Amino acid sequence: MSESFGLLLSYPGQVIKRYLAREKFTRIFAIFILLLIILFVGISIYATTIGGLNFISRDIEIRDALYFYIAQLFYLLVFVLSFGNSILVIAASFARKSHQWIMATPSFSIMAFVNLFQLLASSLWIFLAVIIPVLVGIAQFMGVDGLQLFLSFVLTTALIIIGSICGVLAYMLSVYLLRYFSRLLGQNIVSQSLAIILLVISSVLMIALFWRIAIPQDFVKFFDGNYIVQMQTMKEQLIYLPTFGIAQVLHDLLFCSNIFGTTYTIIFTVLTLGLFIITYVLLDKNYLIMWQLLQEGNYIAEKENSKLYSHRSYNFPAVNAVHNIIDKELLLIWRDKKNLLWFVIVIGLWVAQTAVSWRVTANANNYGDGYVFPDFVYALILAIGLYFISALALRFVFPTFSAERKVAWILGVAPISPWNIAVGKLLIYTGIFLFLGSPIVIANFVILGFGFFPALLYWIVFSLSVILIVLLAIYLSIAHPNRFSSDPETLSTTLPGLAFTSLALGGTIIIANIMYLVLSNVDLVVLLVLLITVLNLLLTSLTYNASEKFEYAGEIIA
Amino acid sequence: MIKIKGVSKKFKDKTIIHNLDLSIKKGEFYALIGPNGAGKSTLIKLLSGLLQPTKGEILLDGINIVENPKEAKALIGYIPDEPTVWDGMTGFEFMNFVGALYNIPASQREKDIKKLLKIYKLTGTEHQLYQDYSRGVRQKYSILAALLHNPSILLIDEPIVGLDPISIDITKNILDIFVKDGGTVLMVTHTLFVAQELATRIGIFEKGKLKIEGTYKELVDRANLPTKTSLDDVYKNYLV
Repeated sequence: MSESFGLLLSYPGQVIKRYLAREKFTRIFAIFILLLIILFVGISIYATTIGGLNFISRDIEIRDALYFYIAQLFYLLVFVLSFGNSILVIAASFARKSHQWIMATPSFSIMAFVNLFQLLASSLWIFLAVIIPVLVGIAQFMGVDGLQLFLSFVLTTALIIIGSICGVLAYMLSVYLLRYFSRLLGQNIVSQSLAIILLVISSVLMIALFWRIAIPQDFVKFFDGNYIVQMQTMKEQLIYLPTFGIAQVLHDLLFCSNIFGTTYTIIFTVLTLGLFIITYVLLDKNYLIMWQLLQEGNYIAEKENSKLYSHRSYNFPAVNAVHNIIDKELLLIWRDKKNLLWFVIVIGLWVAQTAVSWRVTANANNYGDGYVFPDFVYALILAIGLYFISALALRFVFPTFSAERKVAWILGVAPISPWNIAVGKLLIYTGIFLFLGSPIVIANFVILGFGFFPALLYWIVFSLSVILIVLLAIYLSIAHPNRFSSDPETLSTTLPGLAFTSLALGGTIIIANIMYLVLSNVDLVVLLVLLITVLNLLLTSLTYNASEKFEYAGEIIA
Repeated sequence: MIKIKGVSKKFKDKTIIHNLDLSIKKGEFYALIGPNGAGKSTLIKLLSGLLQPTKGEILLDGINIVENPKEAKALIGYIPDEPTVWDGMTGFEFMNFVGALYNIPASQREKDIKKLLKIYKLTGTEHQLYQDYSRGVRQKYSILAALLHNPSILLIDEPIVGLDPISIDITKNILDIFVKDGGTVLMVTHTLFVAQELATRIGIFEKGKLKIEGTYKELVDRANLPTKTSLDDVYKNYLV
């Protein structure tokens, strides 16, 4: 048992060793770029934190209440990220067929620990990239001592663990609920996709409930009256947040240098450890049962002649090759519940941002008609939109050729050129992103009170930028296909993946900045449109050339 | 007809296929056997247009696959060693999609698919997802998909892995009829009894080169082995 345990724990180290065994220089360079990106993101977040706090501190009437509000929102975000990540990791671990051999040995129970370890490790990247810069920024601005900064790290780690544990427990609960319903119905309905759908529905219901209770409160009223009144109003509303208590401790630690912050940090840490142990014991006891329940979908013998597992097959009515590629991509996105969940999460965040814009604008308008937002807000809306599109493109478009390496033979032997495949993928992903993104972007324009003509120009810039991002992802995918991995998460950390991330994010910042600078001058906006069009044509030509040299199989087959 | 003229394939510094010349006539069943890593699968992938040769020329019924890939690929049916298909497709969708790629009209496709499914008695499984199929069923679908557009050349990489004995017989029958109808087959395999039964010519491939080729009888004779020696023993005689 202990030997297999050691072997499994040494696995990540071996993966890194193997990763560096080939193309050492390129891969060290890729790691270097990844660290640079993390550093860049960290410094940006640190600078934004200091800048934001500086800005807030100028308004002495609402300053202190706003600090409390920021602590609450910050911890809510950390919790949601850890919770969501934990569900994705635990669900993936039950779907992995490569674990079958471990589950067939008497040491199967180590998987419970390995999974908890994996999901905590994968949640902690948030700590590196986002949390440390924010906490250091706040600590430096407020002038708190090293011990309090350290305690805020401890407290935040505890929150990440709590978020992750809640994800695991929610997933377990969802599987057991499905098992209960299976018994009631007399047929097995336990599956990965249903468990995740159940969780998504529950989360949406909880958010809706919270929205009903807390959001109707006028944001501006949060900051009405003196400090005591402000805090009272906020606490009455925000107490429904799952992170309310722990966020209050962070506020006490960093913003108030309060002794209670130290005491409660210790209490929360002990509670977290206890909760972790309980979760581990529960998962350990139930892991095999859950595995068996979720694996039933993989046993094929009884399925092959069972009507129960039948689907309505699509006919591929078109004869045109590009049209068929589009149909195929749409069908596969629709059939993969994990893909749909990704779309729901990203689009959900985008809609949430729009809802906040709507709320803030409505509040602002209550206190004076025709409130005009500063120009940077309009540029920011564009940047946020393109950022969400980049995130979707990194997950779906960039890995597209590499992810199909095992099925490449189907397209590779058929009389269809790689260029036609690339065009099909360009059309379908641009179409989906514009179909989903345009209404949200237009809603933002309406909310912020844009005129028709500026809104049209903005939408044209947005649409051309979406094409640019998708083209960039397809070009990098076809020019640098990966022969070793089909996993989108792994592919996004390869050198071409990092190049896409850097170029897409850099391009988004540049386009949004140019838009900000030229906002009042229509001629200059037209120039920006021309510039993006030229870039699109250039990338199209590069993609065509890369498709001419594309091979469906690579060195790995030898 | 398949004509390979001076073909080499290099991956970076490593040469996998060395200046290969090979000609397979129309109506001929050619089996290529050899140890793991000899370059057999790479050769099949070169012929099917999944890879481009570093040097040399490949002609399929007189059409150069590098210069006219669309025309050449329309002639080929390819059966891979790993019958991996998108998990989210049903067997029917997979065959329909493949048919659409070969420009077969939708109404024709449906009729042909129904007819083909009967060969392996797969009717009833076609609307289930690929992820739910066993290895053998996947293999059967990939064999049927290769036949859907009536190719004149079949390129096969390990045709019977995962198939039960009855399905193996059906597969052998399919290939036999295909050749008798004038089709050309190049098959790469480690299942030597199939090669011995079906192939009109057998080539032994090693380190990217054709070591020896001929009919089964010629290979036995050249090795001075008894007439009834199995291909297994012939193979070992040449390679061990």
